Amino acid sequence: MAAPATFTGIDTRLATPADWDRLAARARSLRRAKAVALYAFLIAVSLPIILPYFWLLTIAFSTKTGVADTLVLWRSLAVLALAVIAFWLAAMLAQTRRQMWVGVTAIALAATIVFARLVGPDLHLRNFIFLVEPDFASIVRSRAGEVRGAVQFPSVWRAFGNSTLIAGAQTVIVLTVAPLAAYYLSRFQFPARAAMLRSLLVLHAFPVLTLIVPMFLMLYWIGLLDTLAGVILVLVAFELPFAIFIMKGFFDAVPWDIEMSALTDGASRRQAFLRVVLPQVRNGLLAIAVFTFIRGWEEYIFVFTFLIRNTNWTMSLYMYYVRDDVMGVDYGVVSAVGVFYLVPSLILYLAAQRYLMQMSIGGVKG
Amino acid sequence: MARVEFHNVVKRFGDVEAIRDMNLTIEDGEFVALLGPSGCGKSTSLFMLAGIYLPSSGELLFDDRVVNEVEAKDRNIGIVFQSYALYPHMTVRDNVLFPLRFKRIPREEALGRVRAAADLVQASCRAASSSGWRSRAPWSRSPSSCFSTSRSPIWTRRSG
Amino acid sequence: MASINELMTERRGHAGSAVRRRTNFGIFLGPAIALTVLFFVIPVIIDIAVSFTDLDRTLRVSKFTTEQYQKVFQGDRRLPQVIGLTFIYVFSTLAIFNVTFGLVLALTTTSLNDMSGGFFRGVWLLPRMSPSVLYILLWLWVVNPSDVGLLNQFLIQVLGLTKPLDLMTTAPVALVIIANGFIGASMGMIIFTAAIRGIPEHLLHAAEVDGAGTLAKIRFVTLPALRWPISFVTIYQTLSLLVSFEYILLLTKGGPFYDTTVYALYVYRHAFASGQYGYGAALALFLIVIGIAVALLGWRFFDLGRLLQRPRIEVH
Repeated sequence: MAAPATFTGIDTRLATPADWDRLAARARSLRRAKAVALYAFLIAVSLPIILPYFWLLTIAFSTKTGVADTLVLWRSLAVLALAVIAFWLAAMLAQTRRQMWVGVTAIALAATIVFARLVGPDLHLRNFIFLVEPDFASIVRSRAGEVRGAVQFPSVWRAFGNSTLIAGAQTVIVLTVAPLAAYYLSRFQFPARAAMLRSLLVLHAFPVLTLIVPMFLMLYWIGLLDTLAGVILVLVAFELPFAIFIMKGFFDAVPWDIEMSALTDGASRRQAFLRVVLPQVRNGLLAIAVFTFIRGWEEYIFVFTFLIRNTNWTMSLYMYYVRDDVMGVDYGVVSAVGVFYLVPSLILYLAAQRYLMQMSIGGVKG
Repeated sequence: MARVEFHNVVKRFGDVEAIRDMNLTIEDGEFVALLGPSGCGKSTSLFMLAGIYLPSSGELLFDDRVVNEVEAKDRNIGIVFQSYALYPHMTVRDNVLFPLRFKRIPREEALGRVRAAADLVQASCRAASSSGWRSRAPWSRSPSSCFSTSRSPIWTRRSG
Repeated sequence: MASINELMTERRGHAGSAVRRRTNFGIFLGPAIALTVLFFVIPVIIDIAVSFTDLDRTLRVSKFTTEQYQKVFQGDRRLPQVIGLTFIYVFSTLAIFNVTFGLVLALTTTSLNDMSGGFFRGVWLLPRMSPSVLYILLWLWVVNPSDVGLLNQFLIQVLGLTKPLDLMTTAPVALVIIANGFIGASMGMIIFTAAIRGIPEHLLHAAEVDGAGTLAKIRFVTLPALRWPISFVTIYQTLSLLVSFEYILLLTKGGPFYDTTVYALYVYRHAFASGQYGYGAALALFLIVIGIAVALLGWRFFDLGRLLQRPRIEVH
């Protein structure tokens, strides 16, 4: 074996003190430039999203009939932007937690007062008329001196009820069928198991929207077109593969010993399932419950295609027709409906946040 | 080589104080080992020395100059990680070659150094998957950067 | 040596077990299989069948024919344009927004501290978390052709444009791509952020000490770790974009005329707006086949071994 080569002729850098100072200064300015660039970029690209949603909020509470003005928007944005910057400065400059909280409270107070003086007078709740008056469309139109519209609106609470019914029924059915199927696929041996698992994999990724045409015909021939029950069944079926897939992941993670000891303790497999295994996957159940409900709540295209009578309308259809009929006349009411529809969705999604992470697509490589 | 000093160095992660008021002087050419139980701050101190972490307060000095903010790549420090920190998508040779990319050394010379370093730790440049080989690659990586400076590699000894 | 009693118990046990096995199958898998067959398999069969008829607005079948497929391959002059548009739409949205911009968002938000990064990620999730009708409603406001639309307000007051823009008529395809793109970008952002968070910290530390700057770290450590997620997003988002048309329908209804009608929307319009169910079914069949093909492709991404793991309890 040859003697190991030695390192010769390699450059050595004996840094002088001035060098260190220069390097430190350069690093500092680079870091600051990077931070500024990052924030500037993110704020710039996020504005197209932040602005319209904020506009929705402000218009819902401030616009009078006929006009979609932006004065309230810009004013409240100005107040908000200043408040945010002030908060940020407070967080940066405060030495102790206590100082920070004092600063934050002071800023919040100041911001509220400015907001109340500047924007307060313009705020009102008249746009939420649709909540109490089903025929608000005629009222709004006559206010604006327009002719009576073509659409006959049901009460918004009817639509709200329909949406809740669809989403709720869908959730209940999925919560019953999916865990049963997933458990069987996970824990039982039977002849067609491998084939079924492979088809599960295909089904859960299959784009169900492609089946909308034959689905329509089928519902028509069965007589379930324009019924809530028909829609519920369709949505359940389409949600099922994904739910089963997720639940199977959760069941796979339950240790076998628990079940085995339940069996030796005298339980049948069904009892073991109900009493021992099911409680273990509670998180999975909650996760698919929340996600199924959200899907049902937000569903538009299937509902739009399969439901016709306005007593069957869901919130998504109600929103659609409100926009279609009233938007030219009164932005305020439209956005009020929008806020009414959006807030439950957001609340549901926030609740689901916790489970989003947990649903680590059990079984995915990489 | 240089003299390294920690002056009242504090490192906070959120509300947790990982290093509280550390004072240490390492003379030029000294061989130092940091010993201590898990979680006492050995890695944290080393990372501050290498430029991976920024001290929350206090000063880190090389030859009496404050170097808190100098970037890791400008400090010419070699470090061997407990977990080896091998880049999983690169071959062993590319792993050792990696730091030389940033020193603008012509490829021929760089490959020569890699070969020399590999001989030094008696690892061939074949793809290595057993942990014995894997443990020597990080050592090859450090000398190639540390030999290009006058600084000695820093490492921690762990009991057992 | 087993006694008669024991033998009889054993046989009864097996028979009982066979019955129990069948009931278990029925209880556990029955409903799921029934629903799946009813709503997945049968519609596909119906689709194939209908595509060979002349089913139209009258909802009565008068003859079986292959004229729908003749129309697909020869008779429909609009179809090539629709297919071309679909390619442009899917590719642009995927390349610009879902993958690239999703990556950019993931990289930039993870470079900030958790709170700020989380804030921006939250903002970009807002379109996805909103019901589609609402999201498009906001878009309609933004691109309103009068000077009330937010976009026009910005252009006129900040950039000094003289006349308000009407994107719906002048650049509908771009509009549709951007509207869908925001949603797609947030999908990519979520997946890539999770992947970036999974990169072991010590790799980035080592790269820093080895001399890598920010761009070098991204190029040599972050991006290689994202190879799997990027192909995952590409394949699944391609399928999703190919098949969905909800946002387009809400935003432009496919217009002006047919300018923003992608293939899936073309199917929908033929079936439900024009009542040509037979032709719609024929067109849809191609999508169904593609859907199955891509879903099968997805097998590569899943750890089939773990999925098909043999159960450890054999009794029922």
